Amino acid sequence: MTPSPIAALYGLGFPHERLVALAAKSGLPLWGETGSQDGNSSHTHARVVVLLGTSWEDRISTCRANPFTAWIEVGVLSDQSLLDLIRCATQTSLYFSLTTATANRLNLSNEVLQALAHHRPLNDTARDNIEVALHEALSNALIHGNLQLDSLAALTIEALEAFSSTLMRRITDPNYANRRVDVACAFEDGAMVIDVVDQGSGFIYKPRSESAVCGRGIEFIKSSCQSYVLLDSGRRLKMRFLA
Amino acid sequence: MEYNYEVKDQDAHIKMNGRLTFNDHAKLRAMIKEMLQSSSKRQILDMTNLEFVDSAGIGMLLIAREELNNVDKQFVLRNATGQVKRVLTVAQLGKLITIED
Repeated sequence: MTPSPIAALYGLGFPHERLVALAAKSGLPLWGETGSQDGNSSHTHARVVVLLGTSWEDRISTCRANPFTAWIEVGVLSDQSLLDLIRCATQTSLYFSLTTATANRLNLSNEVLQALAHHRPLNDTARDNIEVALHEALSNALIHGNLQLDSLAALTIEALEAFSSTLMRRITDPNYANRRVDVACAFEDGAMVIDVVDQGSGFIYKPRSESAVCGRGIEFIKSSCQSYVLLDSGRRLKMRFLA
Repeated sequence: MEYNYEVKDQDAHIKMNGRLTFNDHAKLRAMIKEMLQSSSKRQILDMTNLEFVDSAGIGMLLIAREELNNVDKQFVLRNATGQVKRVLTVAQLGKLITIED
């Protein structure tokens, strides 16, 4: 299904002047700030891209349902990078681009799942499958991709402690925490395609032994979706679900 | 994830609720230490109210099993339902940890 072409920009905790400038450069109109347009039938098919600036987390609930179809956390991105992401967002059904720190704090898989359920009714089985696969894909993207944490070295509490302390250190280090994770969802003929993209150093799938410490995530993904493929040296995971 | 630890009829019962994911590493460490300090031979994890577990959660349960084995204690998973039960099956955890209904 081709996404509706009527797109608009909206800012949450984002400077108005910069928003106006980005709207002009992207060729997109600004979405009404009062919210009064929500009930206007002429905007039923609008697709609003939300730019998340500062202090937006307690107000994000107002941007969870239609017509909001994309969240882009601004972070330290330049206008040009934002314009690239805005273009990606308008070319797919649902789009999320957040920093690692924010994606980790928000429970992003649940946010994506809520947005999907809002666009397509999901039965319990489909919902469970998407939740498992999406959660694993995002954990891999954040932990092993952007935070570049190795799998646990051994099945010991000491190995878990070492993993925890490295995780806590990196999630507060801007060099890791500002890396992006992007989720793009598209509805195709009878299927839902979800891409999860990170900015790590890539990933090569190796089968594991039964009692191995890690490596189950990709197996959970395999058992939960119709098909999947790793692209861009493992930085992009494309999953397909029947829906 | 939250857990509650109590000893009843010589067995230790840990009731876990919510979602067990990679973000619970600190709580899992605390839980494993509590299990290791307990004098009970059988440490039973009641999953009745656990809604979701991910692959990292499974990995941490295997750490608990390994650490308990090392001090001659038994780790038992009980009452998994829904997504948790399906994931335990996919991971074939029954081959490594005692699972009771």
